Amino acid sequence: MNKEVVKMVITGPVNAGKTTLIRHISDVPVIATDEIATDEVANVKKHTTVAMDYGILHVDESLELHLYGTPGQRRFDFMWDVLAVGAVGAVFLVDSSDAESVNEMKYIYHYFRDRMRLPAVVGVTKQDIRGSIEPEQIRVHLEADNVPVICCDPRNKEDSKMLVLSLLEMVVQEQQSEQEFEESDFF
Amino acid sequence: MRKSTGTIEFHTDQGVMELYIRTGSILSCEGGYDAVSTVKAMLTMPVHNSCIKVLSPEKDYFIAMPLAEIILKAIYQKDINEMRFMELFKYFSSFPPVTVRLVPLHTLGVHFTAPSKYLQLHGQSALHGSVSLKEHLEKSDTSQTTREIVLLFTLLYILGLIIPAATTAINKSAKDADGKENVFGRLIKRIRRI
Repeated sequence: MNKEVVKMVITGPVNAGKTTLIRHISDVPVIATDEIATDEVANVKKHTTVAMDYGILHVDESLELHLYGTPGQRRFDFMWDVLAVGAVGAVFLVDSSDAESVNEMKYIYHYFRDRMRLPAVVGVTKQDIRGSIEPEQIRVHLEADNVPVICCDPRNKEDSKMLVLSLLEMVVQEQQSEQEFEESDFF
Repeated sequence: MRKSTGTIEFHTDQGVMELYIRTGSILSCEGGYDAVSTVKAMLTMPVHNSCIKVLSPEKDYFIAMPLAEIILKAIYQKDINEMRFMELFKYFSSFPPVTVRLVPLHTLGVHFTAPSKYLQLHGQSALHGSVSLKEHLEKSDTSQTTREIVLLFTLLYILGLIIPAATTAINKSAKDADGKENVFGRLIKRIRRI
């Protein structure tokens, strides 16, 4: 039997929690392309994703959810295009305790928004750290006008599930709006 | 889905403005995109008082729409009197389990007082498929919190963001034309079980 595959992209700057989120959702060990960080990333963590993280959730005998985590560094942006092909939506994760991460997120968010136009949700992580940037400030900075911005902690499984479910809700709503528009007598 | 139509007549300094509205009947707890458009339009209008008159050919809609006054007050974060508060409290306590849709509320120009409560409601709804408004009202520990929650529910209701679980967009779209559960319905169920 041919399996149906739904593809989802998890993206955002380095150290925002992308790999952790995928680990919570995937029911197979995540295939990670980690390398020892050698650049400025080494200041925040030892290993970082260089090509992609890949997880699978088996839904039933004929359906799978494939989760693709993008590398966070801009120099790997060619991978972002590759990974986004055919995706139903994207979860953006940003480390709110790090202004640099928020700035980098703007670049990534605009890159995806302008090229892929995928349904999206933004997860704001590390809100428990003192001095972290407020979600509303992040939303304004990203110019994320039509996208929900949600506080979350990807280390918490329920938060990870909630983000993915929220994205699926956006996808369904978007599909239904398109369907209603097509069925309407607008023309 | 039962739909109702009606007209809200706003009396403002600039005269009377009419808004044609088409939304679900409050008796079946429906809402939708049209309600959102209506509130968007409301927010751009210079309405700062409660001179609202509802004209509707449908009796059930007419019963529901005195709430419009409360809704505007909720949107403008003004206070409501005790009698109205109790009416709303009872009203939301009697709601069936609902799903809470997630939208970026800032796009509606709404600055509501309990954003974390909204996200909490949505989170529970996403994870479990529905949420009980009654439980949230019963759990609130101070009268101030209860008032805030009632105002939030009112606002979410008129925005069409709280909808009976059985009639939500997700549940409807989760079924194909032949009634079988579709890809997204199956995915959502599976993720909730993780």
